[in-house]
Amino acid sequence: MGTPELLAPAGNFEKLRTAVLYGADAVYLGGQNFGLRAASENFTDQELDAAIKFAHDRNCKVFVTLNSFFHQKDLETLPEFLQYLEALGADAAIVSDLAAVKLITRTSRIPVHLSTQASCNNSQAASFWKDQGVQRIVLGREVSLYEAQSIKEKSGLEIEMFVHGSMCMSYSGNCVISNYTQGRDSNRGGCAHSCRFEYQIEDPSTKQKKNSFFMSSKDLNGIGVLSQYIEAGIDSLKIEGRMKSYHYTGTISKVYREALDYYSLHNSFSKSPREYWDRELEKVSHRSYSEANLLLPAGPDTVYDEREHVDNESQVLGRILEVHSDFLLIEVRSAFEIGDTLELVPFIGAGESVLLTSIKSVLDLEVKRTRPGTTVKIPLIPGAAPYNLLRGLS
Amino acid sequence: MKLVTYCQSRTDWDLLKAGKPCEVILTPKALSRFGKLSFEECVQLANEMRELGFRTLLEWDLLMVESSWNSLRPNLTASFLANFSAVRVQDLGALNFLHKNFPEVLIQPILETSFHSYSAIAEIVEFLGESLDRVILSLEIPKEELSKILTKLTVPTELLGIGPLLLFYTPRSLLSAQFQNEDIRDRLLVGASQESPHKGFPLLENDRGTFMFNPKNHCLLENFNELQEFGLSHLRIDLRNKMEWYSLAAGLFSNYSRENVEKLKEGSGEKYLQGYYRVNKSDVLFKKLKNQRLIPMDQNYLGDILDVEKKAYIALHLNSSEKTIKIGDELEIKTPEGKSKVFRISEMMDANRQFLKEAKSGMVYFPHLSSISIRSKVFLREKT
Ligand code: SF4
Repeated sequence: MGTPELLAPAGNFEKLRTAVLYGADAVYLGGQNFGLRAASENFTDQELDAAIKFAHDRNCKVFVTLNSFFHQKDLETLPEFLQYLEALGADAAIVSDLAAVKLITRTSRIPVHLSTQASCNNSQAASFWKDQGVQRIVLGREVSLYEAQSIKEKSGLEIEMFVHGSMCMSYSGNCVISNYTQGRDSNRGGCAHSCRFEYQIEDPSTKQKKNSFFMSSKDLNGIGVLSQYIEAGIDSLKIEGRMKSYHYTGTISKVYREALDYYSLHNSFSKSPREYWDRELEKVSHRSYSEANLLLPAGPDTVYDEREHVDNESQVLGRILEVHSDFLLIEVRSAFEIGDTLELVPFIGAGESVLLTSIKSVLDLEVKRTRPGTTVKIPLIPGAAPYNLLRGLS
Repeated sequence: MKLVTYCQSRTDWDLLKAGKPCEVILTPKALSRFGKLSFEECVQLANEMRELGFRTLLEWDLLMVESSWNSLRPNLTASFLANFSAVRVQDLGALNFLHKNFPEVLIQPILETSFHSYSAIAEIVEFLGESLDRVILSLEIPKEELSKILTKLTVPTELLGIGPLLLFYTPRSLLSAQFQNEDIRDRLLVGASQESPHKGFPLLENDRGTFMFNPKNHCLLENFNELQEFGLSHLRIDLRNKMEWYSLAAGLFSNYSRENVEKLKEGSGEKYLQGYYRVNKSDVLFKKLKNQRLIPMDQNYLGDILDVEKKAYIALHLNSSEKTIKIGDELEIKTPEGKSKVFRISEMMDANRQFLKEAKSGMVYFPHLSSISIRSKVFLREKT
């Protein structure tokens, strides 16, 4: 049984580079239009060109999100963009709208993946989309692994499932809270995340009131059931989070890469370094984790009934820009100083902790404490490579 | 234009049968989000309705995962489905299943929150062919577009005329955990956002999931004549918890009066909106969701400024592997604040403080320029 593809989010070029270098087999990203992350930087046409070249040079596929529900006027400019994507060699388009699916299958050779936004949750729906020319289904987050396997067997389609990240509480594509409260179409990229808000709920018949974050879902974490994903024959494991940091993209991609590689080597996870992976997954900002619907229907314990806060993220100090014979050039994201212990996050293998004995400015002047938004030189760390992340160890 | 409405109980039916025959949506608990009827009750009511000249529609708007589907499948037989004039479906799996297995069953696809374009609607119409009964159109199509769609479509169409506006639908049980000592299932609760001014959201949990509705109901009845002129064939009256207003609403179809629309709206005790009927600008705010100045919409984009040291240097990280910059080239820097500065490269260094004649990737340090901040975007100016 082959291991599934690892598909990581790329909200901008920097995140794409991080995802690719930390082991993604494929990345998904959006252009300036037609996707569902209007607030994400996304890619200009020129960046798309560079991004696809960068990824393809490293054997990584690029899927482009076109997963809005289109209004007629939005469809008018789509053919030109499709031609451009085809010329660039995009590996697939991720689509929700039937008109867009048909347009792509009739006028281009770009493979179509059905977005989770289309809420395809059963084999009959999968078969509908197969007839429309779709090659892969990104299943709704309501579907269990057992059901996914059955959908795959019955439809004969490639199946992609989320393995990690934030969860839309609603059936995807079926939440229009933002449309009517913020005037922003959530199905064209304008979701205001109203499900994360605190609400006061009142029972008018008893006058009982309760304040709660009842619509906010815990984050998905599939590391504990990875073998079930593989055994179910899931073709692609998707990490959510184009809006998240490059620290998130790098860390999560690395953990799942290592886990999948471990499985392909040992054919089981029985002696895997699971605790290490769990610790790594704790280091990025996240809500409490759950396995949502993967094994059983999501129960009340999958609700994240608290205010959004960041308290579990280990600090990202920066990333390595260049490796020279006698120093590393670092882009500083959070301040650090001499005497701090840094953790290098290599693309492969366990991190390296080093005590920082010297920092120099670009002008080779001694620096005691760095400032975010600067570049500095630090002593070489064995195994360091450009675009490795550096974390602080508290 | 014809009237379509709901029947949730025998009491509803007693009210409906007093009026003129119309189309009635029957909502079985096993298939419909808010349905209360058993399959047997649906069949019984459908038979009675048919005898009195009513058309009966079976609502199947639940979205279903594979296991719910499997347990439901044995009930969906040809003889059961034959009791109804048509079946209304939202899940494309349900649509596909009916179309392929029961070619004689007429289908009404519910496209209310999904397909807004003529092109997408036309694909569904073509897919269903003879099985199509009518299309339930999206509420997000503004009237200008709607009139065009209705001119082009040659099949019957339906819109919500008056009724609640569903905002959110999940199969998870979200409310009962909050009220552990009470049975709140099937009871309308009310939600108020504590982080925005929005309040009065009706909330409902039943054994099919949790639902949030808009505080204001949807109403297009004021536009009755206009919709008729556009060619809309059916308008739906959803007074599921306010059936006492049904006769007034139904009266509008034979004798439309604006006065009666107002009477109905006032009497129902609800507030109303027309949603996106007049105009849909739900994508115009997107440009404000991010700093447009940080989007390098230019094919001559080189990279970003990552470091600025006053009186010493500005540092450019070259992102593009395609372009080489040389001494004498002219660069334009656009700051996140919207300022723009053009300069000619007189000298540049790498991180080793070695002077460079040209550079294609990595970090490049130029002599300091005032008013430049980090995250500025740098572009190569074309030579003229
Ligand atoms: S508000 Fe929440 S449930 Fe609704 S679309 Fe956005 S993320 Fe999904």
